[in-house]
Amino acid sequence: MSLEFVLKEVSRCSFCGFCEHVCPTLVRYTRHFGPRGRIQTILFALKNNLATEKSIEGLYTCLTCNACRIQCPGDIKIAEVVREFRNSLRRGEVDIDEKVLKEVR
Amino acid sequence: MRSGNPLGIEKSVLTKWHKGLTMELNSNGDTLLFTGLLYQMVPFITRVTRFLEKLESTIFERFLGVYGRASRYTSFGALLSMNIKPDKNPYFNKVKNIAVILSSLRIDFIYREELDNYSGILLFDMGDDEKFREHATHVSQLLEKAKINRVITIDPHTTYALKILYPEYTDFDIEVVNYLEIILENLKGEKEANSEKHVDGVTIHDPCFYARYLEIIDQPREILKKIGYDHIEVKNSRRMTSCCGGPIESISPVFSHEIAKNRIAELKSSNYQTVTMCPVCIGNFERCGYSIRDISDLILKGIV
Ligand code: SF4
Ligand code: SF4
Repeated sequence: MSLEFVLKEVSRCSFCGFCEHVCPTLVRYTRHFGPRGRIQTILFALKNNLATEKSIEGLYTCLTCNACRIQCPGDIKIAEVVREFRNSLRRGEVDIDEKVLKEVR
Repeated sequence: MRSGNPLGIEKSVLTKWHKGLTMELNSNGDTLLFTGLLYQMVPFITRVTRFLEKLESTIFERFLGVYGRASRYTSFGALLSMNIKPDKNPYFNKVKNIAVILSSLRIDFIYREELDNYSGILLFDMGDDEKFREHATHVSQLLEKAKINRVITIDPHTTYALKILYPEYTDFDIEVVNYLEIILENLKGEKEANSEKHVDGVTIHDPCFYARYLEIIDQPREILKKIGYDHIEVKNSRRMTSCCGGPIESISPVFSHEIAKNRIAELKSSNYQTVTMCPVCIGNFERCGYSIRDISDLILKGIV
């Protein structure tokens, strides 16, 4: 698996939000802590090279519990994508602000 | 992970679970009981997490990055865990229970401390594929050299690692069976079940990895039925189960606590005792003040 897989998978998201209500981490009530927000974080980092400390924290607090995937009409493998993206961040394959990246290395 | 586990605990402290077991453990054969050491690590994890939970709201904590928070687990782990003596580890009993159940059902297995290792699943979760592969290769080579044909696993995370990830990341080619599957198979048509003894109902909390990654959902229900327990489904059960919060206890104990609190409220609504089959769930709920039973306690009482 690779960033190519990650990008292909997140690009299929239509942001319908069907996956959101089952996500246990959305108790924080900011979008970074739900599946749709996590997808948006990844898309933003890959396409616009933008990320914030909060959005990256959202990725690291995903439980990879897979509750969201079974709700998604497109069967997007959200947990798998998040985990794979953590790999890419650690390896330095994502071109975002060093200050934010410091968090994960 | 020089110690082979994320807390830096010396391995022999975790593999001595069988001390005081009344039955003999075989060491000659090709089916290995592979505990993955996760049950045995729970008291250590709880201790470190409690400590870090207190720290989390302090200013010092805010300067630590997310990955830094996970890796510092190791340094605090080794320090704080020193005074849990092997004979005082309450989770050893759960592993003992499982060994006794398997042998009561005449399921052949061996145990060898040197072959029983942590699966490395936290490395995978945190997105460190290279280190995970290295660790998994080491663990699987030991098993292959010892000519093990089959391993019996006892928790969802280790089962997922060995059954799904090891063949993908290494040359691992050993049959992996989960103890619940094998117990159910061997309870079929037998008269071991003392069904009259237990008439009270229980609620099941399905661990995410059993329910959604491994499809081990009906097995615990059928086992409970055979040993005389009715079970009541709560909101969000089976494939729709809701996580205990445990997977992020190393990143943010406070956040993990919030998640556990919500799930505990759901489980409590059934008014029956909750049963589960994952050491991470039991540990995290316990840390958050809700004690739940491990399915092995019930099975043991049901068949022996
Ligand atoms: S349900 Fe699927 S398509 Fe809809 S927002 Fe969630 S991930 Fe995107
Ligand atoms: S896998 Fe992550 S995003 Fe999906 S429901 Fe679980 S915590 Fe939320």
